[in-house]
Amino acid sequence: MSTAATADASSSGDTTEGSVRLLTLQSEDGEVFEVKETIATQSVTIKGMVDDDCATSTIPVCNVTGRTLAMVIEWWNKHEIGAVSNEKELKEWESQFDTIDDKSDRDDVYDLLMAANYLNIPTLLDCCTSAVAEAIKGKSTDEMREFFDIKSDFDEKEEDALRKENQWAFEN
Amino acid sequence: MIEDNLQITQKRKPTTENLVMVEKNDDLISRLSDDILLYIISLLPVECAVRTSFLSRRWSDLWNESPELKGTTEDIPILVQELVELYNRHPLLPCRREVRFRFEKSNLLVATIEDNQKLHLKFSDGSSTLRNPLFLRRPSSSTHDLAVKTLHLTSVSDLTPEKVTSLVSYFRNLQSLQITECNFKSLSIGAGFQILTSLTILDCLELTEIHSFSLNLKRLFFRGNFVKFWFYTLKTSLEIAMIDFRKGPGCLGITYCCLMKNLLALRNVEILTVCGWLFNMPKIKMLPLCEHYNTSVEISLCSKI
Repeated sequence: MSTAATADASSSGDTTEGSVRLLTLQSEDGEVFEVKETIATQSVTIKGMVDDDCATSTIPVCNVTGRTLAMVIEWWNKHEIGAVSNEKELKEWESQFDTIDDKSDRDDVYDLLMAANYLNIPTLLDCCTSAVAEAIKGKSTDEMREFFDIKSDFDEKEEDALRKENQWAFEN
Repeated sequence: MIEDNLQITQKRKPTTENLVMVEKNDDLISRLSDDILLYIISLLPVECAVRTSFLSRRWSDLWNESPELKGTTEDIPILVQELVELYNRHPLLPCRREVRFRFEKSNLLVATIEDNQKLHLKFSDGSSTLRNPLFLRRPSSSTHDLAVKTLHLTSVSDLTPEKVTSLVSYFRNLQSLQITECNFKSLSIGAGFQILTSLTILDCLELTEIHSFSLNLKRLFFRGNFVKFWFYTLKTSLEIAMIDFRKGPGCLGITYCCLMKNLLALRNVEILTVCGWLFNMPKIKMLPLCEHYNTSVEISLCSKI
């Protein structure tokens, strides 16, 4: 349990703050977040739940850790209409997500990708997929394997044949 | 951090297969869903996308699902160029590759390349023909000619003759060109195609004129409405012509004069096969060589007509 949790997991999610309705989201590892409905509905999945009146109690966000969910909520806040008036500023802020410099960045982007996919957040999904694509670009097959820790599961013969026939792919 | 993720992933996908893989390595990317991986691949340049197919079985299976790329009409020539050049450089790629390309909402282009020589571009929007004109242009920096020898174009709508010509001019080594169900009115084959020997045109029902400047065209197969042929070389090189106007006279009013011109244009052909109804026209019957033919007929025309 993290100190970032802002509400007790057992409380009902349907609370209000002024006239803005708050939704309660619970990550896979039990962290609970209260989020304004207006920003959480950037997730198509959550919007569907709200529209169907299914968002009255705590919404479990499976497969997403508290750490990742916090990043997602930050993303929502920045992308709330009117939150950042300057387009350039927003792009600058987004740029922390759209490049993968090392393996720790890489793992963050995977987690965000999973979350963006599960919650169906098109803007975040676009940003993360293009980040991964950028990281793949310009790499040889061997370099891709190294960077993404992909182990070839071809047997020795197949691997040899692949290398022989497609030498270009393994060279940069 | 990585350990954290491993634990999470184990929880996420608790299949035996994945658990085994988790013990072995930190390969998280391969565990993204097919949809996401295919989308990522679709963002890559084709060559780079092909490289991913050699990573592991997981990736090679993905690639075999004929990727669907997305873009605009303007991307089509680039896509075609990349696909063809890829094969040009790497002739050992699988012998048949299909790429599906979505553009302008729901229009679909299926580009298939076979044996490193045949390229088939099939356009459709699922139900009816395309309305958007396609701008297929020759790339400005073409350092080498493409190896494609056979080009099939299917359902290219609203292409002006210039656009078809400019598309086709990209393939200098073309030996065989087939055009099917394309809605343009006039077609011109330039003199630049030194080795184009076979031209096939099937069911292009709006076509009314075919102009040929080609010196080496040997085989011509045509099926559709009646069209006018114009050959601009003094002596046609045609050996076999199969002219099947089975769809009838089309919107052209056929005059005796234009029919004669057509037959004259084909006068040096060694074997000419034409559709029978032409010879039922009253004035044609007066031609000495024309008997009454009910079906397709094979005749040899000499220069006497």
